[in-house]
Amino acid sequence: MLNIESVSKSFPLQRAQRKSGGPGRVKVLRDISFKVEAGTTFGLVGESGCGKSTLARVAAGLYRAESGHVRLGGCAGKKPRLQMIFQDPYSSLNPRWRVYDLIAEPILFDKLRKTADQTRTRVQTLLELVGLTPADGAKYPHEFSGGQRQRISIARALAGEPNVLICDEPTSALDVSVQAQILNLLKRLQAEFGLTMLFISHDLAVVRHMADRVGVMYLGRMAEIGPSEQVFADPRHPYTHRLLAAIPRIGKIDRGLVPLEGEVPSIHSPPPGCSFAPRCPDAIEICHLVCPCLTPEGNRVFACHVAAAKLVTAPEWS
Amino acid sequence: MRVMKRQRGMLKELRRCPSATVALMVIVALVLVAFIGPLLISDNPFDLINLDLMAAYTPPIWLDGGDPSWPLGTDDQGRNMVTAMIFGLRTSLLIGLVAVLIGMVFGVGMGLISGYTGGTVDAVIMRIADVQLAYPALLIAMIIDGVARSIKGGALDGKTAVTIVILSIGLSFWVQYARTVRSSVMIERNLEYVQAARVTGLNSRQILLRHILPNIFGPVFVIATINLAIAIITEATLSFLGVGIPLTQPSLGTLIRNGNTYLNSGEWWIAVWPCLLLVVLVVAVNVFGDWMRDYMNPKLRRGVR
Amino acid sequence: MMNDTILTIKNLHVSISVDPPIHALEGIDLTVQRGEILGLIGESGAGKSLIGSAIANLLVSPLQISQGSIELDSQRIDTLTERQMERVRGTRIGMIFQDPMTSLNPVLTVGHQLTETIRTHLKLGRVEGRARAVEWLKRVGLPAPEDMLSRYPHEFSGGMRQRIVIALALCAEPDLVIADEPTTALDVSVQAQILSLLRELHRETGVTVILITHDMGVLAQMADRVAVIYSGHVVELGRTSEIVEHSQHPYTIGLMRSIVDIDTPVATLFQIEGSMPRPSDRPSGCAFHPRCHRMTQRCHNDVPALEGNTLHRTACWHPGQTSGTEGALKIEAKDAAC
Repeated sequence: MLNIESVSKSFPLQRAQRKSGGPGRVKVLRDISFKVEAGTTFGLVGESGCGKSTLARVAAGLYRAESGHVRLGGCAGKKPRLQMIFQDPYSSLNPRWRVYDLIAEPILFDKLRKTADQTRTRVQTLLELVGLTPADGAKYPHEFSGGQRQRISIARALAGEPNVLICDEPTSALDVSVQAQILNLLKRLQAEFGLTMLFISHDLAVVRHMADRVGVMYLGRMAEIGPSEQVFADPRHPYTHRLLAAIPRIGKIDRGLVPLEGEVPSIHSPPPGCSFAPRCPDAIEICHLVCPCLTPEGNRVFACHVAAAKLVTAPEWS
Repeated sequence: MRVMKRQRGMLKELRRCPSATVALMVIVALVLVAFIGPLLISDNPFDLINLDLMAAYTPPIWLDGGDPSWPLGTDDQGRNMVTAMIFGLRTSLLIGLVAVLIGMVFGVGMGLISGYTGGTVDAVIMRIADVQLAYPALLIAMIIDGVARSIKGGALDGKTAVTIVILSIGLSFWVQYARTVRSSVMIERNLEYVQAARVTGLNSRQILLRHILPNIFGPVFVIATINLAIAIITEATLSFLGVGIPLTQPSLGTLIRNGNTYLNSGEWWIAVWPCLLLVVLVVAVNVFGDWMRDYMNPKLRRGVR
Repeated sequence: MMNDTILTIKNLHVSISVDPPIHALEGIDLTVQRGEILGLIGESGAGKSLIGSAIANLLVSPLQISQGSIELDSQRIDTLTERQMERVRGTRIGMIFQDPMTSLNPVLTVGHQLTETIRTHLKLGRVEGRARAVEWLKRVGLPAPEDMLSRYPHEFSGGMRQRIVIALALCAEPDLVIADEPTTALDVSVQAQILSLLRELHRETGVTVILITHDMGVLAQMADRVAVIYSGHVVELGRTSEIVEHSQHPYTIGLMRSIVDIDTPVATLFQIEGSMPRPSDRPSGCAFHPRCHRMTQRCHNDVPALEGNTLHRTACWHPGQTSGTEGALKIEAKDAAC
């Protein structure tokens, strides 16, 4: 399983971005905490600038958290192993390496197989597992389509025999029909290998489909966390609510989209108090002054003053 | 290696450009002559034993006084111009190639470290590079050469001179490689395949050598090709100025220097033949290098990256 | 709505000039009615963007129109010279591209680009041109438009830049706007704003829009009619509600079903096996037949033509909504299936 505890992260500003007298760093993640139970999928959603990709990289160990911890648990007492799948199928595979070598690399690096023959068999098995053929091992990445390249990335990740898999927008660059194939594949593999998955996407529908629990991020903070069924069917945070309303749906041809006003504020100068307050139709005075803490409600949490107030005044919920 | 497949594609493209094809053929021919020739020639004209002073100043065969044994004439010491040039070509090419190699290895190494590590290391390396760039390569070569001479006290023998010249030219080149490689590395290190390698657990050295280096090698090769021409000319200039290779194991530049003395007294061929050969070599390398640069430029090419 | 055609595309073929030629688009027949929003949907590589580029004559060699005709207001535009085409673009055809950073010149101020376009196409003086530019920036929802004129594109967010691009496309008052994936690079909430803006401007100006996207949800909200593009062919064409609720072509049906719908969770997504062929590997007959469970010998031999009525046409030898496991998507609120 995967534990994110009070993780914060900031980056130093380039000289050009720095304002005189202003801070030299920009805080991209503020005090993020959540738990992913073994064998389940946790979805992270949010729009650009919310920090979900940064959080994914902190979880993967590519960035070091400024404060807080990332804890990995193994399954059945074995050492925890982590692997990652990336968004861009075109830059996530080294164009100069053959597919076979790309998939074999994690096996060879961690010496997961003893002989060359065992490695070869393992690579072939992995290729078939993701829907490719052993002959594809001799080809180069540019000979494959985007969807096939993501399959290769998945095979490479599985070669590392992970128990935790981080998927950073794995289907965002793919067409709808290919996306369906890849998502089905990921779900099947998770069930087969009991993977613990952290699934990041800006597409709420995809996250709802894939995740058991979901965390909604806004400007470096968690807006709400909970079982995906509950969060999407009955959101607590106004941002989640408006985000869901903004999705153009096929089923409802009513031409009546409800646009959320304004745009996400710059991460360099976040609003005081609740980051979402300037755009929130339900904002009250305290929202502009004090940053809301995460209020628990059953197995959900949310960070909203107005929703928290509703909770207190509606005793049947607590 | 994976290079093989791309070479086949390259030859096909090459055939479309006649000037580059001719240039490549000339280079190959000259290289063969320079390195196989001396093995076939029994008498090294620069071995003092073989000097035949009686044959000195023989003009080329089509002029009065010419002799079929020496089709292009002889120099002031009676050496056959043809064999003298072959040996000279070998020295010139050797120096050029090794100098480029030294510059490339050192420069690429510095560029990899600089681009991947960033921060202070990057800043230090780049500042050193900037300082060196302020001086023309020729001057740097002369400085290194002069210092070496003063250490050794006076004139240098053939072997030492070659080493000094190679080092001084090579070290004057590294900056170009370092800079190009550095910017390529800075782009590549943010790409997702590098991050995937880091997640798998590879350390910086492994990532640089196994993953990044194969992807940035294109521009390096182009610089190397162009540098070869520059290296040969620089060496020729150094030798012409007298601070390069001595006449005992001369390069084309030394031969030109030697022949320069006789230009006004009528024995023009002693200088002109080596000069022409040098021009042909350098032009061929430049033309091929130009084609290579256009071929490697992904923006000009259609099709896959 | 006026029953009057503004754009007619007949038997359009766009090919890559090699030997033998590869047809990226084959036999495209489309008519666009004045004032409507026509959506073009398809996967990447299907050719939907090429149709937009062909109309605006922006194809780059080795791609070229090898056959067919394109008529704007009954006047052929595919045969115009580049010079003549420059006059058409802007005053008669406006373009909105996906990436605002490449549509806007990064070294010129927004005001300069906008006023330059306005003055060139509408032949206005400097003061009038500037006033018009401010008006347009206000119209697309930019705050403090006078101040915005002196800013550079990189100073704006993605959503704002796209608004500027829309202003640029519409300021010369064209009859037709081609929007190629205008919201794909934007966040969901910003996308909703931009689509809302486009709808409002469309209502105000009555401009005809060709909206190219891979997102069926966007078309469901915006388009009057939809054309489904698959491997260089139009496989289905009709009113949006028809295409969505009563798809007839197996590809369209499959596409509708593979879409991840936030309101209807399913355990496993429907997936169409295989992938769309590249133009160079297009099979004989119907391009979809290798992936189609309705395939017969005829599908392998003959390319189907668009058949049907004005509301709904399909290019298939076995069209029809099938019952059973392959049901069509219903529009009304669905029962939560699982």
